[in-house]
Amino acid sequence: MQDHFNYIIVGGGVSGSIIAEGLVAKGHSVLMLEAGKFFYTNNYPRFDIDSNSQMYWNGGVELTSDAEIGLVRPKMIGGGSIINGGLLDRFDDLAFEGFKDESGVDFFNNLVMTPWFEKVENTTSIVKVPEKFANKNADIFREGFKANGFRCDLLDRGQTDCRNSEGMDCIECLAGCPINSKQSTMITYVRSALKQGLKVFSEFEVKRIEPGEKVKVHGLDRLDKKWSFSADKLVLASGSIGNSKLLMNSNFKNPNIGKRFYTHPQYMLMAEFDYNIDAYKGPLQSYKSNDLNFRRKGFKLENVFAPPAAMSVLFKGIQDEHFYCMKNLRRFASIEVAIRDTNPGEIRVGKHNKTIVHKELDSVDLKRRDLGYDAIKNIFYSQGAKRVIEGEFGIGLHLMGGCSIGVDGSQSVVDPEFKLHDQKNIFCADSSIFPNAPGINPSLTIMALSKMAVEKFI
Amino acid sequence: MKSKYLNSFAMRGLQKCGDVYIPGDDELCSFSKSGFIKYIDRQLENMESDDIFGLNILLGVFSLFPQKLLVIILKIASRNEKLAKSLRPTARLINMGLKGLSCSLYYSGLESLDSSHPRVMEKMNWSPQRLESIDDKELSDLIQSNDFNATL
Repeated sequence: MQDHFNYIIVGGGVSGSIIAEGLVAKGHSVLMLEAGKFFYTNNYPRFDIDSNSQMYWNGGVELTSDAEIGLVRPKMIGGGSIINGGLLDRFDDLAFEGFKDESGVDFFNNLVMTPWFEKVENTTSIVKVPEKFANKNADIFREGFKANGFRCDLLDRGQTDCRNSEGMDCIECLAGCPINSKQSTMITYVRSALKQGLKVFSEFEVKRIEPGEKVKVHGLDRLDKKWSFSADKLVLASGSIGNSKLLMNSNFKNPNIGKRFYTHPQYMLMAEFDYNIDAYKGPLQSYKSNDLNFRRKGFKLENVFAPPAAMSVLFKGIQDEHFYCMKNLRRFASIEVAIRDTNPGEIRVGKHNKTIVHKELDSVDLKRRDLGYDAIKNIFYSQGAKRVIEGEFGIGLHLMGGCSIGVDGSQSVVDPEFKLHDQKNIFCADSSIFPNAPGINPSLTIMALSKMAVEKFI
Repeated sequence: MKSKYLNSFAMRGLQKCGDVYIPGDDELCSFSKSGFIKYIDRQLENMESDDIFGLNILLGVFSLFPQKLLVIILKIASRNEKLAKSLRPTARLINMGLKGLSCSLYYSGLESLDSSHPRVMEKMNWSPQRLESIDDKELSDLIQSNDFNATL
């Protein structure tokens, strides 16, 4: 088996997939090491219990140290693009200004980034979610916005034809889209990369890297057999927690590793109605807030729902109080508030390599959440909700930072050429380089930055 | 019912805790009656060993408590916002961990052992439609030839 490559990529998620495709297209030999499995239409899990256990780290959810936020960390080739809602938004000026102010990196502006967004959009079908299939959960969102004078818009989603007219309910896509409509990077990049010779080692967990003229990578396969590979250049693409832990476990001394961790904490509120909402029907999500007032105040809203196993953890209480909600799940609508968090968290490695994440909401963040709660309650009650229930805990789906980018090596981990400050041949362009929380779904920008990194620097 | 990951005390504790969250009624069976606990190893197969160790201890202790005491403990854990700040993380961990385990088993769409309530989700009329999966032979072949894992 070949053990030296031009490039090794640690992590096969969104960034790793795009960088891999870009590098093999240039004729380089590339090995992608991924701790998770290959999941695709032929083997997507059918039951929540299996998708939770097999498609996420630590069997589903990892809690922050105060157990206030559940972090959802995908573990598979294609990463978050397999299991997310498929929402793809460009950053606005406010997001890029925040990045530039924090990092000092010049390319964080829409003028420079637009061609990179366009390159991604040329390879990924992004459409407005068709309004004619909007379900009752979405209708309540739209009409509630109107009633309260808020502004909303249809979501931009990576999809081709979800065949909702044939009865497809996209809640099923949260464990992988069975009809290849959702534009996961498995479809848009990995397939092409494999055709061009990308080598992959799935179910391989990288334990340690050794920097040098040739970077060495050590890890274990699924049978716990040790392997070592080397490369001229290494790309870290295992996300905020994966990259931070790997660098710490490999004795990298930069004190900024693991710092500035953000999650866009998301809080779902559920509203009970007198009639069946059936939030599972058709597109899972149709609308998002598009309200400058919300944006300035640091939060956004989306209409959303989740499979019953996930909803059951969000409903508070025990015994009949909880059981009633689950039995009457069809009567519930849901809206989430995602906040643009300002208080950074920190990732550490505990005993037995356990992930420890300190991440608290400070008074600014709590105010943002509460303003979102107020807006959601107004929306629901304007549409006749009997009652509104706040979810049991926050959810961290957008894991960002930990290896933040910046011009100042004493304040950041990655330089403006996507290279670790103190290294010659170790690169990173995934969400771990984010210097703060943009307040916008990060996927499209991760893709654009990865495109830019592979074309210009790596 | 045996598990690779939970000992017999912990399994008993999980049945008791599951009934606190899912007591059952005329239409839907209780957690313990459903027999969903038989799928527990599918749920725990990728959980970190430290967490499984902790679960065995917690559920093992809970297995010794009378059901009424367990209800009081889990009610306190679920109303954790009223607890002192130092106690809240532990209470939240217990609440979400045990609710997550039992409810994920119960509400995942699996088939129960209770013949009068074989499919909980059908009883709840929760019936999302899923079109037939595409058979992606091309990708399957590419994975077979390019993934080192496939050769192990």
